[in-house]
Amino acid sequence: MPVMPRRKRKQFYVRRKVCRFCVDANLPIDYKDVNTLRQFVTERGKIIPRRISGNCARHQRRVTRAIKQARLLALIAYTPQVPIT
Amino acid sequence: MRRYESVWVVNGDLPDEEVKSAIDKFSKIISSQGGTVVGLDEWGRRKLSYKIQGTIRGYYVLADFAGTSETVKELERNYRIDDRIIRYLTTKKSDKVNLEVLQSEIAARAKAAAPPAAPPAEPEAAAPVEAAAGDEATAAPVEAAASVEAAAPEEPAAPAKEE
Repeated sequence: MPVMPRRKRKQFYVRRKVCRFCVDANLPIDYKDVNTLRQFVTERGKIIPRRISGNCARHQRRVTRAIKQARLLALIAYTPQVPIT
Repeated sequence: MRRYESVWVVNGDLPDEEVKSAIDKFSKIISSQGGTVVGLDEWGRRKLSYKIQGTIRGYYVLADFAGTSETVKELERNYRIDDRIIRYLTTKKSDKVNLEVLQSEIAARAKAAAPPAAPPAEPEAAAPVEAAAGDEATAAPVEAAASVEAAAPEEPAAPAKEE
C-alpha cells in the first residue's frame, strides 16, 4: 500500500483588514454619500458583510443603516434592474 | 428644539412650476409649525435607481431645519397627503439646538448664497436628463459597479497533489 503523503496544510495569509472608518475618523457615513456607500454593496445590491468589508461592528451598523436609507430614497437600487445573466 | 434633516423627492415628471410650488409648500410648513429652516438644498432632477409610481426621475430637495417633534409630525403628515411627493426621509441630526449657532449658520448660508447670485446659471436646467420616454431598454442603469469585493483571501499554496 502506498503511503499517502501527508497533505500539506494550506497556508493562509491572513491580512488583517482594518475598518477604514476607524482609520479616518473624518470619513462620514451618510445616506446622501452614494459613492462611498456603493463600495459596500455588491453589483447585485447586497450589502457586503463585515467579514469581507473589514469594517468594525459599530461602523458596519452605520453603513448598513445608511445603505437602507439610501435605498428608500432611490439613491441606491435594491436590486439591479437589468437581470445579470 | 432638535435639529433635523429632511429629504423629499418630488415626482420628476412634473413641470417646474409644480416642483417649485411643492418645495415652497413644504418649507412653509416647517416654518409655520415652529421650525426654523437653516438651509434648503435642491439637488435637482436625478434619475431614480428604480421606478417609483411609474416614473424614473425625481427632484430631490434637502431641508436642514430645527424644530420639534410636532414639526416633523405635521411635515410628514403632509408628505403623505401630497401626491407629488414620491419619497421622503427625515432624520434627526442632534437633540439640542443652540440658537446662536443656528443664527450664525443661517447667516453663513445666506452669505454663501449671495455672491454667486449674479451668475446663477441654472445647473439643473443646463444638464437635463436625456433619458426620454423610452424607459425600457434605453434607460438601463449604467451604474459603475464599484465593487470592493477585493480581499478574497488568497491561497497561494497549491492544492496538495494527490500522488
